[in-house]
Amino acid sequence: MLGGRLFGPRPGVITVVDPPVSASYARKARVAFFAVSSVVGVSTAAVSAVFLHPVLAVALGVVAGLVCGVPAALVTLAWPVLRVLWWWSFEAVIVAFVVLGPALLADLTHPLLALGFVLALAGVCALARPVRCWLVAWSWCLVVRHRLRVCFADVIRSSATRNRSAVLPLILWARPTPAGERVWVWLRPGLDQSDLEGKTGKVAVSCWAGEARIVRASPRFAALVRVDLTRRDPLAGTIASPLAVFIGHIRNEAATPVSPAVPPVGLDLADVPEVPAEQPRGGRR
Amino acid sequence: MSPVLVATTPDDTAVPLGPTLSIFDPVYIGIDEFGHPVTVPLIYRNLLIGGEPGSGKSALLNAVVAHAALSLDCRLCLLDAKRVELGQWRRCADAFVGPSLPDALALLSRLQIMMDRRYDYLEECERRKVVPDDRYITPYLIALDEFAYYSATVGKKAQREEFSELLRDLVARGRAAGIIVVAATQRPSSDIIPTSLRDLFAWRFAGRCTTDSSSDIVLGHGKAQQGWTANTISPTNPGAGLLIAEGGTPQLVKVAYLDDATCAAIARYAATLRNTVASKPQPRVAA
Ligand SMILES: Nc1ncnc2c1ncn2[C@@H]1O[C@H](COP(=O)(O)OP(=O)(O)OP(=O)(O)O)[C@@H](O)[C@H]1O
Ligand SMILES: [Mg+2]
Repeated sequence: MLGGRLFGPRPGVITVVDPPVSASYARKARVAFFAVSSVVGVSTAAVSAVFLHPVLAVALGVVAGLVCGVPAALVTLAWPVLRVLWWWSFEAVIVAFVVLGPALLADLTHPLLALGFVLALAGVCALARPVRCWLVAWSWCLVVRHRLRVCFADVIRSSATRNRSAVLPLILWARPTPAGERVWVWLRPGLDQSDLEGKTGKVAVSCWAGEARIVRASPRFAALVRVDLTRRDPLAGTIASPLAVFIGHIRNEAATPVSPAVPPVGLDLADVPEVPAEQPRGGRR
Repeated sequence: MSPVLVATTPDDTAVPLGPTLSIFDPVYIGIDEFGHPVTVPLIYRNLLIGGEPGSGKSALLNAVVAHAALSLDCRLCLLDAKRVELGQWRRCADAFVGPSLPDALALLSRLQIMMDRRYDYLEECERRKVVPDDRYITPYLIALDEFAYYSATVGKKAQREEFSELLRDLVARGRAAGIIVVAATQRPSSDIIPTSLRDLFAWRFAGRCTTDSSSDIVLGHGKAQQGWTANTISPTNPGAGLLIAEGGTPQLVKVAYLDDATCAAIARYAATLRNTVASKPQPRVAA
């Protein structure tokens, strides 16, 4: 998303449309460079001046400042790319395992043995229902984290005229629930829960879910919100009340009375005389 | 889980009667959308139940009444314009009112007098509310099904207004005297239940509603805007609804269902228990 315009506007080039992201990272990189190099440089110089000649100490300070400032600036500049790598790190690890594992196994043992092992594992994953459900549930969690990020980016972009400084929230942790997924999100300055209110429909759409709920997750931190995504309905069945179990032993003691003392007469419309006696207006609205 | 009631016969032998509950315990409602049990403490609270016809309001009312009937430290007053929804609990209740507005008014007036006397008593004792194992004050659960029948359908306008006013007084002041009001109606709009009364109900349950605005009427203004609307509940899923209780945010719950036979069995059991306790003045409760 951000990798394309990584290195900001070149000096002398006037951009008509301000590329906010890359420009801000270039600016941040400059600030990081000056801040880190000056702090490290001055403190190194100050400390080494105690032991060395002042000129040497200053030279050492400049070198130390450069050595620390340049990497800091580079990391800040490359932060959008590092962030994307971080976002996909889990998937990358899984892919590495899936690709490298069998290869390593084939290298260590016989290729046919490795093939058999891989097929058996795949078979278990696909055929054993608990394993399959578990895998599907956790895969949805991975998918949802990315979809939520897309969604939040959209929210920030659409409210960009109001606050252009909003930062993408941190997607902390996702776990499956019987209904779908539950994701904890740490909002960063520029966004709050009211920005997300009324966007639950959009969140549900972008996460390919049926419904989304965004609630505050912590009374202490307004920044911590919980997104509940619903894709299945665990409430479809009938729930038995524990009270039925509670007094279970008396359940069969006597049959429920089927015919009360009232004789079953007059239960059809034909049994009711045409002009009824004056009665209060009954029934529902 | 619960204390077992033990009765003492005249020749001083203890007879265990069976398990009982307490109205001071949270009431089991059902499960939430993540499969966890949902319990709601009802003491010092009032619950308003709304939802379209067939959304499971009476089923929830029955679940609450069942708990209260099994709680020997709670007395029941039932008002049910349909008579059959709460009719099974008739023998456990101190008072049962069918589709009769004058009877309902008489009952509510008596309750109001009782409430005032309770406050006199509490004032004398320099106390502020009922507590568990109170010697003289037992909590009352007032269960009201088909609210609209009494407040907007039958009788003269003055009577209906009197009904709403009496109920508002009970809801407003009854909390500390141990009066719990649980009312169910299809659409608690202002023509059915005055807004000043509706807003006193701390806890809400909205079964499926036909529109977002109907859902907002039950749950409170602006909930649909925040994504909480009982309109999204499937019409084929009675008993599912949004519950506002502790925590304040709505949660999707499915009410546990008591079928007719189970209800009748629990009611019979509770009635026996209550009769036994009434005839034997000194029941012991063993942990
Ligand atoms: N929790 C539940 N689980 C399963 N089925 C339920 C549940 N609650 C209600 N039902 C089914 O829905 C039917 C209607 O429920 P109920 O009588 O409680 O609706 P209601 O909202 O009180 O309707 P009305 O407005 O007509 O009084 C019940 O007969 C029962 O079959
Ligand atoms: Mg009903």
